[in-house]
Amino acid sequence: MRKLIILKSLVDFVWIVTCIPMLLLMAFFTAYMFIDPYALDIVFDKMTFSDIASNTIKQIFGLLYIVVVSLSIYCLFIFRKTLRYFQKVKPFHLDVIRNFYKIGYLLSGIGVFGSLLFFIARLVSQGQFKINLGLSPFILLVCLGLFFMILSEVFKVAKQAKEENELTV
Amino acid sequence: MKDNTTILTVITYAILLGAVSVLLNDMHEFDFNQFEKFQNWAKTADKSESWFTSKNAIEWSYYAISTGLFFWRAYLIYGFSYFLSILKEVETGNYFSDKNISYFKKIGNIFISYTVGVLILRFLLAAIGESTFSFFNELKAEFTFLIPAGLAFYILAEIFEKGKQVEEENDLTI
Repeated sequence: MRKLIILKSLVDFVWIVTCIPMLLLMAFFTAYMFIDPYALDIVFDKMTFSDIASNTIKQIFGLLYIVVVSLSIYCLFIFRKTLRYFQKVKPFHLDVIRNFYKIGYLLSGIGVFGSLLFFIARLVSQGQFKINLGLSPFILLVCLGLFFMILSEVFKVAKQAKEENELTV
Repeated sequence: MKDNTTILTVITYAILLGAVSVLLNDMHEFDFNQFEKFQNWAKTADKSESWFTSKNAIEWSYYAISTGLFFWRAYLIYGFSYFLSILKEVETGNYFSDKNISYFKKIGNIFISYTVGVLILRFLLAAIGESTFSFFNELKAEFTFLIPAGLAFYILAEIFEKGKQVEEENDLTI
């Protein structure tokens, strides 16, 4: 239980210090990148976009990037919500199973979509057909997503066993 | 679920293989650099000079700390290999087995000890002047993911223990 309190505090700390300011900054940035497209150079380095890439392409990819980051923040939000159920000692609640499945689904999606986004960005702006087969954060995200989906299925089994148990009693 | 488990097993194998090859490559490169340094030193070395000098002591501590860092990286990869065992258990339908509970605990232990160990070694490396150490940068790199993940695995172990109790009660009732 003490570990759960530490984890919840850490997640809350990351949520308050990183995620909330980031959401505000992203809202501001979404508008600002259309006023001053050069602001996008802060987000995209020269490895992703060359100098010759047009501002419209950069803006489209900027928007997609913001969507991906927002979804990641939403995943952390759901995880934070799920930890509350653990604190209430309800680990096999239906919402926990649903939340885990949702997190898994979203993280896998972010991983696949993110790697595709960077692949297309390189192809469009630099004309490079480059596939990264090494360790990348996107592959780790897909792994984490699949792991959450498996956990959700395992928790579903435990929930059924618990319900059967309660019915018998 | 079987599809997800199979995909995750394949990806985990690929990640482990990639991580091991990167580690071996880094170790080889480090070893080669040290050998080159040794060769350069041997050309100009003065045999009458005492071997125990502060410069040599620093060199040896750098070598020892780097070896320690490689050890921790290998230990983390070993920790990741437990995922394969967990997935194997899940695939066979033993979701809440004792093995899974102990694997989750072990992964949690490895993640947390890796973070603490690497943090201490990097601090020592900075102390002997071979690199720079910024606590906030280290915090960003290691703590933000591995410490919460380690704690989450401890909690998962506890939840799986509870799942095991429920399953056992259920089996007894039937």
